[in-house]
Order: sequence, then structure tokens, then C-alpha cells
Amino acid sequence: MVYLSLSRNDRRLNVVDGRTLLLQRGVTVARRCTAVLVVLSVAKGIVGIVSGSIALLADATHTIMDIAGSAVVWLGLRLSLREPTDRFPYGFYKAESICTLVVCIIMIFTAAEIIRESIEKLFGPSVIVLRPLVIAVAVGSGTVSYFLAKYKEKAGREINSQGLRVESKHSLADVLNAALVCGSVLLTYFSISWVEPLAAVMISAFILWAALKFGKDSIFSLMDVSPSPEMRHAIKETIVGSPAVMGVHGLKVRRSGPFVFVEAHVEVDRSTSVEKAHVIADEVQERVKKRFREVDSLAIHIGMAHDESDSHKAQGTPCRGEAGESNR
Amino acid sequence: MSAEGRIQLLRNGAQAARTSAVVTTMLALVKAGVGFLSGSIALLGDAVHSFADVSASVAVWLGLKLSQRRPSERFPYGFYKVETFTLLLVSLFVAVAGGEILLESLRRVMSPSPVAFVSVTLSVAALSSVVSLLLFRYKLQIGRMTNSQALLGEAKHSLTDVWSSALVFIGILAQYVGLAPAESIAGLLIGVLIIWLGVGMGRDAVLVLLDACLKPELISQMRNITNEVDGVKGVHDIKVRRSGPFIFGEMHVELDSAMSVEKAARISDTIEDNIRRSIQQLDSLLVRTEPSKKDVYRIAIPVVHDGGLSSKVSEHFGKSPYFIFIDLHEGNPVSWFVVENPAVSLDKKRGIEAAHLLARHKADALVTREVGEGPYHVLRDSSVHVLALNRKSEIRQVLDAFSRRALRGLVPVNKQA
Repeated sequence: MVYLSLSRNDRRLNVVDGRTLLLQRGVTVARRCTAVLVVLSVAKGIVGIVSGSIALLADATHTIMDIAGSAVVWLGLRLSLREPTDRFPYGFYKAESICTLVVCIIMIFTAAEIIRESIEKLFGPSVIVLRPLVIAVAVGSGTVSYFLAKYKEKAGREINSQGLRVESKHSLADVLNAALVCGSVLLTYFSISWVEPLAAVMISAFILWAALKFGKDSIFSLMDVSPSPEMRHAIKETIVGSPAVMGVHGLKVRRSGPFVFVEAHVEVDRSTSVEKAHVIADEVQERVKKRFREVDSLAIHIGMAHDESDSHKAQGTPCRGEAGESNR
Repeated sequence: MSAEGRIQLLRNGAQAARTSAVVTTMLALVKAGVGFLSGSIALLGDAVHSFADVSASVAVWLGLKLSQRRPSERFPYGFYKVETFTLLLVSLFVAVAGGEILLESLRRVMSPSPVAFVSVTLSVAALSSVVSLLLFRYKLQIGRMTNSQALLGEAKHSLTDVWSSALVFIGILAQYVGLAPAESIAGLLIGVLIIWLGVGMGRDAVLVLLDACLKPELISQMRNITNEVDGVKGVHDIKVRRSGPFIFGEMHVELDSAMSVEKAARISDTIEDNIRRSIQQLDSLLVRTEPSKKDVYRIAIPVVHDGGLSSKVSEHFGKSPYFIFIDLHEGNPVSWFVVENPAVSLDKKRGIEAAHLLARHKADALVTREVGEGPYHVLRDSSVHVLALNRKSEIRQVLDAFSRRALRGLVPVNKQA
């Protein structure tokens, strides 16, 4: 079903450079990770019940949280693939940011849950049987989580998806958790009870840190944050570098999910014809899109160079040139 | 509207939110006290509801406060969306509060308990209903003025307060008369009402965060305003998105391809001004000008009577009683219409008025014997090409000459010369 809807998008979007392909890659990554996590969770749950290891059972519940997070990111990426509609003229890229925010909230709850459990454990240590099996499962799940984390981080960076990247941190926390399970078995053996809760608190602190960091990023993205000043500057230089462009002002760049929208007031000679100006605008668009593949679209207003009423616009105040009145 | 005007609107919104919070807090305290003492879950639920309102009001107030910050380098589109986030928070709050009331009422329906101090409880419910109605009208008014979604959401919420307090009144009265679980059922309904409201508000906030166009009628309104501007040959790709109480827009406007950028910039400014005049919440509009891609060319010819394509061509421009507008597609007339020249009865400026008439009907070219300097400039400003009429021509000959490009440009008559 997924493939069906994607191939339909494919045909309509065959002009849309690599961006759709990138998103599709993200969707695939998120889907595979979700599937792996489902298998992992079931395995851990079974072993946990059989062995009576609270740590493993708790780990299985965490994996359910992981599945939820992974599935939400998958949903977000799938939604962002949708084409713009009348109701959503800028497309659905921001669905990815909203889903990232949801993942961050899930992670905050995960962190709280870990702290609650470790406090409980401090007062009533559990008895664990079948130690070798427990350690084997923990090592196995830790290894899987480690590779999932690497996989998601790589894909997340590649397609600039905050959702995949925060999910990677989530998996990394699972690796630490698995390590803790192995450690706890040894610690119980030597009857040291305080190390495990402490380590659990540190892991949850790590999860909280990641959740807050990426939560902030996604909120900023939803608030139309500008990407790094360097990128803004580079875009400006690219526009000014186009032939026939005499200057640029009112450059606004905003994030939308993994992509970037640009608007700019480009200055050309005042005697340029509308036809020529259109060609110039198209050229500027091509240049910027070629250099920054994350740029989704550019809205370019062509204005005259050295025009005072236009420079007001750069500061965001409406411009009321006397010229506009004489037209009526 | 200027930036200062927008800030002023935000201030009004903040003021309304503050007043509403104070009044609702007092209502909530009274209801909670009486509800607790009398053991009425419905009234207690109503109090919880009002407390949720207060938190909502405070959140909205905070949101509006933060929205007033000017755009920065990092946030080039301003902080308006802080308001949207607070709205999202408010909606979550409302939904959770609704769930609480629902659960508690369910428990009471199973085991109904009597309500004490019926007269006091009833009058508190009635008072709450009336005050909520007043608050609703106040917030609706300010919300419409400032176009603050959060405030409008709040107003809607107040309307729910009116109903829920009325429901409490009815519930307690019915229970007093002898219909046993009526009061708990009232509480149940209140719970459902609040959950539904919260979900609706949250949905709107998420749509705004997704850059959805919540009002498609804005697009057609903008299209109409733009099309009325002289010189505009067409408009497409209008995009609108909301950010807190304001909207950002962009559009592609088709102009005559030979027009200068200077002229095009003036037209863009006019479009922006005109749209801002009727859509006050517009924060910024980006107009991309494009050469017109029209394949139909509209040519205007002054005629002495309304006789279709066989009308007699007039020797004059401003004094001509009628104009015929003919749409040419690849040189062939596809349709035509005749318009009476209202300027003919004027004493002066007939030419100017006639030129405006042509601009209004989106003529691409005018073929005439003579034209004054004033009308000529009006026509040029509206991208109407002025072509010279050959002596003793009929309409068909004019069209023929036009498609052979045999008509030359007309130089205006300088009256001083």
C-alpha cells in the first residue's frame, strides 16, 4: 500500500529533483526500524516473562515506547511526502516537525518512567533467575539498538530529518539501558544495590536532554525559524552572484520540516522589462536550488535597485510609495 | 495596517484576555466553594471547567504577550506562532479537564448522592451562566477586532460555560424535583462538551502549525482585488498561510511583458495596498511579476453605434458613444461585446474617463484615430497599446491589419502644440 501511494507521487513529481527520493528514503528507514523494534520487543517480552527479570520486562515496555516513537516518525515522513493542496499550499513538510515534537514528549515520559522504576527498585530489589539468558538477550538487543541508532543517525543527517535523529538518540538510550541490564545482573550478584538506580537516572537524564534539544528544534521549526546565519549568508551571496542582479534585500529563510523556503526582494535595473525580470528570477531560483538542495521553493519579488520605498519593505513595514497612488 | 496598528490590536487582545481571566477566577472560586459544600458534582465540574478556563486565559495572555516581540534575525517571520502554541496547550488542558469531569460524573451516576443547599446552588449556577454570557460577548467582539484565534477560541469556550452552567441549573432542579441521577448526568454532558471543544481547538492549532490555509475564501478575495488593479492581466498561485493572528501571502501576477520593472513594482505596491485595505490581518505579501501568458488578445475600437462586428468605426476616442471589445485568438475574433461610453456626456476629461473604461475591461490594445496626451498616459499605465486607425476602415479591415501587424503606434496629440 505504501509503495502504491509512493509510486503515484513519483509519477507526478518526476521533475521534483532528489527531494522526494530523499523523503522516500526516510520513510523506508523509519519503516524498517519500526519493524525491527516490534520483533525486538516481542523477543524481550517473552524472555522477560519466562525468566522473571523485571529489568528485561521493563526494557520490553521501553521498546514499546520506541515502537511508538519510530512509528510516529514514519507517519510524519509519510505525511510530508504528500503534495501541496489548496488547503495546504506549502505542502506537508511540517508534519515531520509535529511528529518529532510528539516523539520528544514520548521520550520525556520514558525518562520519567525510568526514574520511577529505579526508585521502586531501590526499595524492593527483584530476584532474577536464568541469568545467562537475560544477559544474552540484553547483549542482543543492545547490539540491534546500536545499529539502529547508527542507521537512523546517518539517514537523519542525510535527509535532514530531526525526527530520525531524535529517534537515533532514543535507540542510543536503549543501548545504554541494555548495558545497564547486563551490569545490574552482575551488581545483584555482588549485592551492590545503589549503582543501578544511579545509572538509570543518568540514562534518563540523557533521554531528557535529547528530548528537550530536539523538542526545541521542532518547536523552532514550527515557528518558522531561520536556518543558520551561514546558510542565510550563502543564499544571499548566491542570489547576488546571479547575472543582472544588482542587490537583494528582505531575504527571509524559514525551515519547514527537512526543507527550507526562501523569499527575497531581488533588485535589478529599473528599465528591465517584466519579461526579462521573469527570466532573471527563474535563473536566481535555479542557482539557489542547485546549490542548496534542501531549498524547496523561492518566492522572488523583482524590484528596482536603489529604490527607497522598496527598502522599507526589507524591514517588514508595509510600503506606501506615492507612485502607487498615481496609478489609480 | 501599520506595524504599530498590529501591535495595538495585540494589546487590545491581551487586555481582553486579562479581564476574562480575573472574572473567570472569581466565578470558579465561588462555584468550587458552593459545589464542595453542597456536594454537587455538576457544579464542581463546572468549577473545574472554569479553572481550566483561567489557565487557558493565562496561557493565551502569555502567548499574546510573547507575540508582540518584533521579528528577529533568527525568527524573520516574527513570534506570532507562540500564540498558536499556547492555543495548542490550552486545548490539551481543556480536553484533560473534560475527561476528569466525565469520569467523576460516571461514578456519581452509579451511586447518586443528594445535593444540599439547593437554593444557593441554583442561584450560583444561574449567576455563572449570565456572567459567562457577558464574557462571551465581550471576548467575541475583541477577538473579531484583533482577529486573534486564541481569543475567539476563548469566546467559544465562554459560550460553553453558559451552556454548562445552565445545564448544572437544570440538573440540580430536576434532581430536587425527584429525577434522581439528573445532576450527575448534567456533569457527564458537561464533561463530553469540554472534551469535544478541546479537540476542536487543538485541531485548529495543529493546522496553523502545518501552514494550512484555513480560509479559502481569502484566496478568491485576494484574486478579485488583484484583478481589479489596472495593468494586471492575470493572477495565479496565490498562497496564504496563517501565523498566530496574522497572515502571510504570496502570489504570481501577470503583467504586460514589455512593461518596465519600475512600473511593475508600482503595480505590486498598489496590489499590496489594496489587499491590505480589505484584509487587515495581512502581515506581508510577496508579489512575483510574470509576463502575461494570455493567448487571447482583447482589442478595443471606438464605434458610433452598437452593431456588432459590422458597426461603423468612430473618428473620435473620448467622444465616441460606444466601444467594441473584440477577443482575438491567433488573429481570429472569437468573441466580442459592445460597451456604452459613459464619458460621452461629460464636459471635460472625456478621454481620461474613456481610457479608464478600457482599462476596466482589460483591453490589450486600442485602435483609434486620435488620442489626447492625458488619456494616452492612462492607457499606457494600464498596459493598453495605442495603435493608429487607418482612414476609412471597417472593423474587419482593422482586425485584418492588426493580425498582419500593419498597424503602427499612435503618437498622442499635444494640445499645447
